[in-house]
Amino acid sequence: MEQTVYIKLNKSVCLAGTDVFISDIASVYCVDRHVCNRIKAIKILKTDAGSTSRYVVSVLKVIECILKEFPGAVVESDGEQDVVIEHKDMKGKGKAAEYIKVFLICLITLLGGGLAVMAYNNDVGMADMFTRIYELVYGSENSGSRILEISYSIGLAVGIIVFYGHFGSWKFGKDPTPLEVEMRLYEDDVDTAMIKQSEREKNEIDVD
Amino acid sequence: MWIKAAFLIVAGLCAGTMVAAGFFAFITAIGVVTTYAQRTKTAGHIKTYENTLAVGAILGNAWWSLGLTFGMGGVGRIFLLVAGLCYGIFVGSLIIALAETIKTVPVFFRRAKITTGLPVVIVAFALGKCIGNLLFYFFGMKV
Repeated sequence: MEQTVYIKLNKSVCLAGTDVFISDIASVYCVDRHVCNRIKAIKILKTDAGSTSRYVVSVLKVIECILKEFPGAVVESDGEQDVVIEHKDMKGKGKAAEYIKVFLICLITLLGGGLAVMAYNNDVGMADMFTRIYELVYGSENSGSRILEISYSIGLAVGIIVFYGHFGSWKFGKDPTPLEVEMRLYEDDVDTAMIKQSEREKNEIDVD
Repeated sequence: MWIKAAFLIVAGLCAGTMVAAGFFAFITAIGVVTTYAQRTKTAGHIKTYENTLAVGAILGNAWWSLGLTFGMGGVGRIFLLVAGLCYGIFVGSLIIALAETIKTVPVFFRRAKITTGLPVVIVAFALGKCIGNLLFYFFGMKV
């Protein structure tokens, strides 16, 4: 009985448990649903419980595991060639540590963003620019008007909100925000780099 | 007179919008915040970081351009301490991220045919920046 099994490996997964099954790292399709379910339940590896560690598993290892269970099967791989498995221990540290980290990053981005924009204003000499614009518009020294500063501040706020496409939970459009896009790109880069590195260091979980 | 004021309002609004777009495209592309999220494994909160960054920039800009002063008294010192620390962390990561974006270190490594010692180089990088900073502020190298 020859069965064709199609598997699509994910690029990276983050798991809480220590046992990694095929269903965790790939999507599987087979005409026979029974076989499909049995393949999904095959265990690929057991990760270390205590530490947060990363494993890179090659698609060949997955195919080997499937063929061990179903010697007659034909496996077609349609997807990534390697998968990065990250084991994250949910117990232990808990939510408090995460909230502290989030709070600290929030503080840094809040103050840092403020400083960056002030540094930019200072760098390009925005204050002198404003003085000059007042002179050009009024034809004389500005007499204590604050119009430009106020409208500039409002404009900056509008620009930021339009650029990021959302503010708080209010959001326009379904697109991911620029930072979310950047985040995914960055994660992709990290995964690719990790796969390359473990290939070089030969600690990828592979058949040979 | 009101037409001049109206012109100034429009000019200020447009200037602010464009500056924000350009400046935040820069900060986003350079990837400081994404790196923070990745390092602390809190990528799920990226939207919160976006909000704080936006609020921080809006308030910071308003503070700077309007020149508001708060009499914070003793609290001011604590604020300065926390703010200085955060400013340092942010600017430190910003400059490294900038150097990383234009791929300085990989290019140097490749040119000099070095294959190991990246951690040492990074520590040296950080130390050099720190020493430079101390010289700048405490040993009269400020221009």
